[in-house]
Amino acid sequence: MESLSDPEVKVSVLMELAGLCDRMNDHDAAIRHRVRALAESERYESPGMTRLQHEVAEALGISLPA
Amino acid sequence: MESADLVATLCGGVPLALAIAGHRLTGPTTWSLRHLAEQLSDERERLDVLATGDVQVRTAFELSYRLLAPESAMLFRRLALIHGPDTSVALAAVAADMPPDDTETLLEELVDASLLRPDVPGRYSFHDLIRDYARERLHSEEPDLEKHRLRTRDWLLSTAMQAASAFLPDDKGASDLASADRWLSDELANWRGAFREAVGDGAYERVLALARSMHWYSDHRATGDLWLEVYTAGVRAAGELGELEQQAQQLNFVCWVYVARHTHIPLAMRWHQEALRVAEECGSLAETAWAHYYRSAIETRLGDHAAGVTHARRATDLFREAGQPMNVVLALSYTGVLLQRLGRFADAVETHRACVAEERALRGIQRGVALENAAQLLLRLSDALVAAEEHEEALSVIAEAEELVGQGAANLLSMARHTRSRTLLAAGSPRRANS
Repeated sequence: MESLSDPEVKVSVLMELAGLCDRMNDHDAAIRHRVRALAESERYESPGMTRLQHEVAEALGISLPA
Repeated sequence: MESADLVATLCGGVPLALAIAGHRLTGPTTWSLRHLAEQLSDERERLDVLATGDVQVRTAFELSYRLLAPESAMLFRRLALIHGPDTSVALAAVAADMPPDDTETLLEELVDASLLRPDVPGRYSFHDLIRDYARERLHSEEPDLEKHRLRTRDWLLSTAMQAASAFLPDDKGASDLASADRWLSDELANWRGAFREAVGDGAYERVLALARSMHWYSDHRATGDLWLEVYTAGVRAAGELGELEQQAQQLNFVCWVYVARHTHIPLAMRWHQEALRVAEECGSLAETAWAHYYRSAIETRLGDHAAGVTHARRATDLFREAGQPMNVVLALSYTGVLLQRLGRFADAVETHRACVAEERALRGIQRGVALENAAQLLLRLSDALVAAEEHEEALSVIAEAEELVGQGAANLLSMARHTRSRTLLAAGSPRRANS
């Protein structure tokens, strides 16, 4: 649980959960997890977070400013 | 991008290249910025464009290249076989056809000669203009170019397939997904480039094999555009090979991209109908089942959960008839989710219970994706139990899910705790929920 206090881990976990929901055909839930991941990622700035943010935005089909 | 920005980008900020580009814009035969940008965009022409009189970007690279030892020069030009912006030592070794240890030493020599950049530890990248130069040398100096190209292409495809197999949701999957995930992400541009080569080569068996291997990994990562490219190429490859069942599978995957990634339901429906037609035509129970499974998600997106239930049940029956018990479990679980959305809580509980019972009967070596799936099935059952106000049973199911989380499905830890808290609140135990 301690590791989830790391924001990058939290965003990664939300993205993993989104993948799990996709795998189990619940694409609405997958979108909800990705939206939460994006919202979470926007609160922090780091190279790792920027990469994750672009990854989740791409999965949602959203273009982020360069 | 504006033409001026594009020109600067294509020159990669190299002072000599920028000076020559500037001369093109102001010299005796003046080019427009747009024309210059167009000329520079063609990677085969770029080095010719960046030459004026005696001054050439190519000459500057040539000076470094000619000073290299033969083995370093060979590695340098063969790195142009790699499509992506950077490479690992292992991939460079395959392209060069050299042992990895020797390759790493030579890569460092290329860094010292300013022909490569060490981006992150263990990875090396070309400057775009230097890659163009390496490509020229590759084409003019490698007698067995095709042999090296195919070796690199096939290694990338087979390694990508092997990494993707870690994500299989049964005991063939791996317990540790991280290294496979990292390889597929780090080498994405490279294996995608190899895949495009295979498509261009008409290597249909390899194209289809890679597209098939990506089924479970595509849930985890990357964009709809990539998967659309992979699976539409898979459809074509299966068609060329006359493999109708595999074509139906690839059509189903394209349908999935439109449902899950692009959320374009009319297109999802069109591909679904084609998948169903081909699956029924070739008599494939499994692919007909998958078509109904994805159709259930389409109907849900359209707001018709009842139709979703009908298709999910049809998928369950067909998976059972096809002898695919793990897919029966997936379809049953989704049926339960949809029944709950319809407010049919008792039916949802019954369906999830049946699903969990079937999964328990199948349970073998559980790890990786299979372990996550099992935990998720239990959390779905507990959700339905809470909706049906059967709180005590819900708590015992959550405890079982938490046990699986402890065995390795760590991604579900927060979800399990959240579910437990909600259950305790619903059961009227706010103090226990807070703890």
